[in-house]
Formats: sequence, structure tokens, C-alpha cells
Amino acid sequence: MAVIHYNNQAYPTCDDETLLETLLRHNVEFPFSCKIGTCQSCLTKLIEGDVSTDAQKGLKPTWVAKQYFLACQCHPQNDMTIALPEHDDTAWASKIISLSKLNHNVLQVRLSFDQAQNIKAGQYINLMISDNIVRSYSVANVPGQYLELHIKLLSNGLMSEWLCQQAHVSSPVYIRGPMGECFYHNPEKKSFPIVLAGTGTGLAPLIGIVRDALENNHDGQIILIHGGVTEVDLYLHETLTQLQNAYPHFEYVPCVLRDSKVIRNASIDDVLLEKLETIKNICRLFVCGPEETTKKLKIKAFLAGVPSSAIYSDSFVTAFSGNAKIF
Amino acid sequence: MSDSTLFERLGGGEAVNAAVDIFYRKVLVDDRVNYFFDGVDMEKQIQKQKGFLTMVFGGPNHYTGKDMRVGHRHLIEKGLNDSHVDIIIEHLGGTLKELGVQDGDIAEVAAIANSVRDDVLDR
Repeated sequence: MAVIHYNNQAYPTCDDETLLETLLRHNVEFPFSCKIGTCQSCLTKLIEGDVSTDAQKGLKPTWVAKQYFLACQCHPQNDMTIALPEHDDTAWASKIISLSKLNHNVLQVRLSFDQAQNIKAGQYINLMISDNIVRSYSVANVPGQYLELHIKLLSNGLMSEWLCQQAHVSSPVYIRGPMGECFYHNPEKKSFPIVLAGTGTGLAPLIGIVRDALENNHDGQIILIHGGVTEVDLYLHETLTQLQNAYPHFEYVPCVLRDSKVIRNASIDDVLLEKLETIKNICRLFVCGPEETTKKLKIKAFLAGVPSSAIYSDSFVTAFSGNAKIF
Repeated sequence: MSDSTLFERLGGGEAVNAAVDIFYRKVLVDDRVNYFFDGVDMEKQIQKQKGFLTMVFGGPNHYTGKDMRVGHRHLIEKGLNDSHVDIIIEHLGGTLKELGVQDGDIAEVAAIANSVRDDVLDR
């Protein structure tokens, strides 16, 4: 058994527990979300003791050098003293520029952006509104004057509650990141088709990637498939229709599971496989959205013949507890 | 030719990259074994398959018997047994045949895969 020292309190561990599990079992308020080492919400600073390199996988070298690690990936062997990250080390200050509803449950949030930060459309950042409330969101624009996020509002979400009830223009926030490998990268200006598929706010990184590819005069067809349950879920329908009219090589393919007389009623799986038919061997595929949908779409595309190395994705991992989700 | 290692003859890391998609597709469409892969993340699985293929191709790897045991224990709970190991070795052979590998080298790969059977099945 080891003892964890945090905020002048001591918390004994149990066998096989992660550091995060120990803290939560003792009802300690601590930031976390995915619990699988992806979202980095539980970034922790080691003050005293040892931490294995397993708990530092995927962190920036500068953070590793400053003894940062992920609480959800750390299995304490000996006593440790820990602290929350220092903002100066790991995050930068930003402000809300605008808040506007895109449909019944998606909020567009624009944040002031420090151009010294190298962020690509499609990557994700951690938005922090307090030490303990940290959530990951994808970047939906090519960052210039501002950073745009599409946040799915959840009835029991702490972030949703703050955004709807307290946040206003110029509210200060902190941002950590970027993270993720899902972005447009084509330094050699190669020509190839791009297919992007996602449901819900999985559209955010995908439209970011589309905008980036169009700004870079991508040579090749770009097909964006956005799926919803019903029409109301297609929250950027007008914008994407206009974009399609402006760029002949960009195709927007909306689909819904039911109740539409205008939009095609079909599952996103079927639409994706149909669109991949003639280009599966040569395209680059981006898939984003809820974890289960993303996993399924990737496997189907792979079995249809898309090489595994041509499939890019960041799934939105849902935290296990009702009030902690990253969307 | 006789001086070259199995890994060199197969084509090294390039061969692993060429084989991984073919091999993983064979496994995923085979109803006798694909349920062991339900719910896994494809990217992570592709990485693991590359590690596995590197090992059975005789390449540099860091696998230990303990890794094999711990890594497959949850699958043994789902019923993993000798017949499934046989099927995986069968798909390995099929993959290498598609890539034009000679029978002698395929047998060597199968022998390496067989050598970890007891670790995989935790016995």
C-alpha cells in the first residue's frame, strides 16, 4: 500500500488502483474525463516520489521534463506527493468572444486565440473553467482570429451548465493543448480524395479539416458525410450547402435515420461504404464522433478495403459518470 | 541467401506493414475468431498486430512470456483455446502466401507462432 499526499491530506491506495481511482474513492474533487489516457484532463504534477513512464505516454516532452503525468494511467507503487498543474507550465489564458446556439443542443463557442499556439483544425484542446472542470473539444475552424468549438449541451453536464447559465462574452478560461492526430497534413501537396464521416458534434473536427483542405487548395475530391437521427441534428446544413455551392470539388452528404422528406434516410455506414466504393484504395478517411459509431465506421471502411494507414480518427470518449462527458 | 535471417528474407518492417492489413482483415471476417476482437479500437489493434507480426517474422521485439500471458488472460475467460491459435496460424500462412512467401519460410513463421502457444493459453 502507498499513500498519496495531495493538498495537505493523505490518501491510502488499494491494490491495482490507479492514482485517479484512489482520489475518487476518497471523494477528492479532481479533474478527469476519459480515464483511458487520451483526453489528458487528469494531468498531474509530481512533487515527490516516482512515476513510471507508462503514465507519461503521449505527453509533450516539456511536460515530462517538468514531472507531469496522467493520474488515470498511474499505478502508485510508493508514496507520492502530487499537485494540480500550474497554468503557466501547461495552459494559456483565453476569453470567450461569442456564444451562439447552432441548433437545439449544440453551442458554438468562439475563443480568443494566441497565434503563437500551433493548433491545427481537427485537433482537440482541453477547455478549463476551473481547476476541477476540464473537458476536451475539437477545433472546428482554421485558427486565425479565434478558436471555434461546437459544444454539445448535456442536461446534467457541468460545462453545459456553466456555459448556459454563467458564461458571457469575455468570460476568462484556460486552454491546454492541442492534442490529436486527426488533421489535414499534406506538405507535399499530393492529390488524393478525402472522405470525412461523422455524427453529432463529430462534425466539428471534420468541418475544420474541410476548411483547412480548401484553404490549402487541396487537389482532389472532398466528401463530407454528416449523419443525424433526424434533420434537427444536421446543425450546419445551410453553411455546408453554401460551401458545396462555392467549391465544385466539395460534396456535402447529409443523411438521417428517420423522418425526413428532404434529406436522404439512410444509415451513415451505408452512405460511407457507397461513397468509398470507387476510391477506397486511394482516399484518406477521417472519422469522428461518439466512440461506438467511430469504431464501427472505421472497421467497416477497413474491411471494405481502405488501408489502415489511411484512416484517421479521434473518437469522443464519454466519461463514465453522468456529469462528466467530453463532447 | 543462406546467411540471411527469416526477417530479412520476408522483407523486414516493410513486410510487416504489407501483411498487417491482409492478416487483420482475414481475422475480422472469420466468425470463428472475430468475436475476440469485439469492441477493440482498430488503431491500437493494428499496432498490436504489427508487434505480433514482427515477432513471428523473426524480427526485433520485446515480447516476454509474461506479456503474452497477461495480454490474453481476458480472452481465455471468453473461451480462447488451441483451436483458435490454430486458426490464427492458418491466417498467418494465408497472408504470407498472398504476399508470395515460400512454403519453407511460412513454416518457420508458423513454428515461431507455435512457440508462444503455451504462454498465450496461460499454461
